[in-house]
Amino acid sequence: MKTNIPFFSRKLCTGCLRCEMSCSLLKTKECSREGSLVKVFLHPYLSTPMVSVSIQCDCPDGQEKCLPACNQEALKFVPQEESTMMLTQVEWFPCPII
Amino acid sequence: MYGYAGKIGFINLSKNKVTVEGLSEDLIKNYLGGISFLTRLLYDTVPGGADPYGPENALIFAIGPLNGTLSPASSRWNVGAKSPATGFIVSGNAGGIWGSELKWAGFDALVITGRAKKPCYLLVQDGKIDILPAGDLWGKDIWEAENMLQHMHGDPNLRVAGIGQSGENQVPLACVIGEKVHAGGRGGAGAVMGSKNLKAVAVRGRLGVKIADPEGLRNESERLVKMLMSENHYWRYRNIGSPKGTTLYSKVGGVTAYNGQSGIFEEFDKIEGDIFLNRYNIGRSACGNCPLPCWQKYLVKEGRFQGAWTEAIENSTVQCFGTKIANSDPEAILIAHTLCDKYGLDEISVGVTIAFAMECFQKKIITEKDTDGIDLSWGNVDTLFKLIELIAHNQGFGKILGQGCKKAAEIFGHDSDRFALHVKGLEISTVDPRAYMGWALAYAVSPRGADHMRSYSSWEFGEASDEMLEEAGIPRTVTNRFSVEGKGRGTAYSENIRTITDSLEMCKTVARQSLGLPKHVVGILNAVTGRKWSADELVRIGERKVNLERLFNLREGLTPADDTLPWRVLHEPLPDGPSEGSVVDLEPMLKEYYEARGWDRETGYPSEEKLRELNLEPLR
Repeated sequence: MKTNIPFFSRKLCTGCLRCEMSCSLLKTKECSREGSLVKVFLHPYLSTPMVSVSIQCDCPDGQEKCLPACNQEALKFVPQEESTMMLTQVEWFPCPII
Repeated sequence: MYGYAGKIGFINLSKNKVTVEGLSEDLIKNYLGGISFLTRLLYDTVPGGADPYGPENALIFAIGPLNGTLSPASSRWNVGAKSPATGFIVSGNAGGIWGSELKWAGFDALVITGRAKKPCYLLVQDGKIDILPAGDLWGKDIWEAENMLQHMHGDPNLRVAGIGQSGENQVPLACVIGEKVHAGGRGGAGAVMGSKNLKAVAVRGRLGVKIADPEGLRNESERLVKMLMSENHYWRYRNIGSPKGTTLYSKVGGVTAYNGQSGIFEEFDKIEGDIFLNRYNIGRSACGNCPLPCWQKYLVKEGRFQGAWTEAIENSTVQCFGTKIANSDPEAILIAHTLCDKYGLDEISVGVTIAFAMECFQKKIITEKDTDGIDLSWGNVDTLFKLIELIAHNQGFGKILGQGCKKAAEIFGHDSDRFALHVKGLEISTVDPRAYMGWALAYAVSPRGADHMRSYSSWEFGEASDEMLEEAGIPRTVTNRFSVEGKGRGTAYSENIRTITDSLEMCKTVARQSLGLPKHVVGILNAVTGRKWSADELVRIGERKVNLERLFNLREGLTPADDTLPWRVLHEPLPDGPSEGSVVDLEPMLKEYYEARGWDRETGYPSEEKLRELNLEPLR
């Protein structure tokens, strides 16, 4: 079972969806938004991004394919024991697990 | 089918009828996608001599094989038609996610003809196209219309490309705007959309793009992103965005200040790229699949415009609402940009036409009697806002300016056409041609009028690698901005390879260096499609599309005399700055360009041999 906790940076995330394309490519051999377990929501008025991760994400810790696709380094999977301290960093938000 | 959705939607609004056809192997093989698809479909659909506002004109949206995949910066889309501004072919290219969403919705292109009896919009969703009544959407600006559509369909992921009031009013300066801020369309594609009573194309897709070689795509994507991030333009665009380009043009004395009466603007330091970054920037975004977030966001935090928020201003924005009209207020530039986005106006043509009118006012060719009492003094930002409103609503003095500077000069007379900065009826986009000979030639020969993006010959900006020059077979003299040698061959080569970028719907900002070379993108294309394209085949496709655009325009009456530049840049030397004394020596470059193209200098036609070589012979 996956234990690392995903965080995203509101400052660094550009809403490009490369994480979604990479995830769906791994899971379905196709590129689509529907097939991705990581989801980027773009605010319809402010175009700000918010990133969620499915509870079904089963990539082994450290081998998530969404990570290398994000050249802005806006995503992090943090070991559980370090995750609470991440809450002190205002730039980083825990991704909702859906 | 790998890479492609495999379908084209044909929408006849007069008959309220939708038909869907499969994508032909011939179209894929000879035209690849995107702008090349659009050009062929437009050539086949629009009869010669068609009225741009008539139901026989077609409005076409097209995307390419890489849209909706992990391929970097491949989410753009093209929209085109026969232009009401030029009478020739026009297509605009825009970013955002809309282009990928169309693929996920199951289509590679939409061909829209006819005219709806009442205002309508298209809903394109998961392989299905519906023509629906626009109702209250008609009359709304683009931002309102997009939000209304998302609410109506209960879906914030609905992606909308549409027109504002200017398109509804069929103003030739109207463009199509996607997702509020991505302008697709110089040359009046928005006016064509308005003439069809079509407010918007709302797209939502849940289908996947089949990939022939998933690991190959992943590897090629990583390789291209690394290559991009090692290039010097990457960080400039990421950190500051396109407005920094204006600083470069200012340094060479090419910012077309006071409508080109000067090459330098004495208050440029007040609207320099860093001003926008340091004073207003609140973050950056990227288009779909793009590793280069050049799309900056701005907020005015205090003063008259406190709370005003806008995105994605460009170098052209800073020139058209800054230097060209002698405005040094950066906030006014942001506001004018937002107005154009909301009303759906081509900000380049708007800015250049207003600058032209201001010079006419300065020279007393027109007075306040002609302008409905509006003071057109240089740098008057309230006049700028007022004129944008009038142009969008086709009212008062705006009725004249909305026709563009060529037609305004015909109305104003007194030799004002000498400083109406357009080619073929389309306003000059950015830098003064007298500062860069390669861009001057690109403006002159572009099929859609004075436009730099068809050639986008970045070799004059210190971005020509030896690899690029070797590929093009052009001498290093092309990097000298005042030299004319090699510019003809270089421009022809650039147009060919930029067509590949536009056919793949990659971004030309990203592809301005290595990713623009066919040999670097052919791998990712083959991984996605499972085909065995070669780099040479891609260049041939680029050349085919350029020649087909030529045939379209010749059918509409184009002659070699149309491949020219405004009188001012051919005869009036720049009076100051680092390009002082320069005028464009066009003829030697044109001669070399025509030779490189295999076009007859007298008639403008491609040779029989060239058409045969490109499988275009039957279209002669």
